[in-house]
Amino acid sequence: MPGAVRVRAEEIGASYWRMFRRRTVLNGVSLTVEPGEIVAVAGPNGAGKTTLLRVLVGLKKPDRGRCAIAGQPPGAYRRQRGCGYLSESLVFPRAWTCRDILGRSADVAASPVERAAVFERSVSRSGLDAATLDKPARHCSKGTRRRLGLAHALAGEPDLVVLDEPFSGLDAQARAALREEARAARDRGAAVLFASHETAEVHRLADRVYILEDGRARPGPAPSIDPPGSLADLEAELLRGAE
Amino acid sequence: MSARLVPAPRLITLVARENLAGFAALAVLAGGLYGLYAFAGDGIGDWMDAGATLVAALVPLVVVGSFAQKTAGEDALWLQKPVDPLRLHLARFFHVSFVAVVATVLFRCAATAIRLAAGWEPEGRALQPVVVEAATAFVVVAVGFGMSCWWGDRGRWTTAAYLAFSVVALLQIDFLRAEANGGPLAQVVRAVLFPFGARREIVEFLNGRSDAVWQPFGWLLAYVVAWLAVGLAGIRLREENRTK
Repeated sequence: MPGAVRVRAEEIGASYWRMFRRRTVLNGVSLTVEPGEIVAVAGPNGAGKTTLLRVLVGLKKPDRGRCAIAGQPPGAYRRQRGCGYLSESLVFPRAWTCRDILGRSADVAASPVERAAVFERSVSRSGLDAATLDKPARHCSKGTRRRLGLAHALAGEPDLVVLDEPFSGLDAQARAALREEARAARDRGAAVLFASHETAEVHRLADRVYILEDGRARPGPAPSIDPPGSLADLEAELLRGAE
Repeated sequence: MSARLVPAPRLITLVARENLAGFAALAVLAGGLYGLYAFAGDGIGDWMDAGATLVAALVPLVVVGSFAQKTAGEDALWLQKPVDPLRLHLARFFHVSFVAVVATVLFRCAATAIRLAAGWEPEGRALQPVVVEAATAFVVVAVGFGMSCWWGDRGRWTTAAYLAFSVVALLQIDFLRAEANGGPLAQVVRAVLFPFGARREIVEFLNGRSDAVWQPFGWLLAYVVAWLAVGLAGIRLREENRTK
């Protein structure tokens, strides 16, 4: 696989300062994501899923531990090859229309000869009609903004796709389309990692699951393991963690 | 090779549109002042000049707020693509500078047009101050860039506080005169403060009272470069140690 990307995190620790107090969120998280697989990080609210994803794409520096993407530090990898990151709290620049965002996205993600094709693919991926494309992104509905964010994240067909709560705010049709996009990315060899607290979606999409609790990640039941883990198994595991 | 889908003129237009509310507020402020002039005649000519200068200082502060999008939107969007963050933000700096300088020139042109329509007869060229104001706007944007690269959203307010501090320090003329030729403290203060001295020298040159023009412009340019360096260092540091 030419652009194969392997994500490896070892004993990651991360914390935040809140009101002069340090709050440890991750306390020795280890995980791997292989090229051509979809890995989910599940866990209750506040478990540290977003923090873990931000560390893995180089948006937050860990307190300790090692993290490598294709053998490089995440920040260096992101600057050189880019990654498709859909953040949970997506804020678009003021005054920018959806067309501006997808156009700029193609400008920075693709080579000059590929720009137009990448833009067309992004428009088709987002499913936005011509009228919505020319609306300021901040005035669109939450679901539209998520679809726009996803199209932006996938522009340039990155080898690493990281999605934070991707199903949030999406209707059934958009959820199905998102699953298709994630599987298509996996099938072309990308490493896909997503965080979600929606158990059914995690079970439906992921090849492997990590459950985040007490600042650590442990493997959870998933459809690909032998014997295949059921949705009930996954829910039971998550509840066990919550208890 | 296909052109960019969002070319530089469009990016500049977006910066202007992002700041429409701020510009509208300034236009109301300036409109009140200029309207007052139209009614009151030449009696408030000095106030008119002071008002136009004040507007010239406020315009860049409005636009400097655009850098804050680094934290809100642009950062999350473009920096996940294979781009050099320094180039990305430097381009943003030039777009914002362009908008600030053009807006400053437009405000000064409007003020001058109103004065001329009311019968004002300028001693020199009517639009002479616009050179100094545009240069000032450019420098203020550079300061705002440097500040916001470190403090994000608060860049606009720290820039305003810095300008206020510079003005107050400038008014301490006795202190500056006493220290001007020697003291290390004065040298530090003069280097750190907003370069009002260079600005004044340009005014002197425009009024024909001085021959020195390259030195003050060079000083302003050095000042811009220094603040750009401060900003780029901030971006580099943020890139290496990001927080939520």
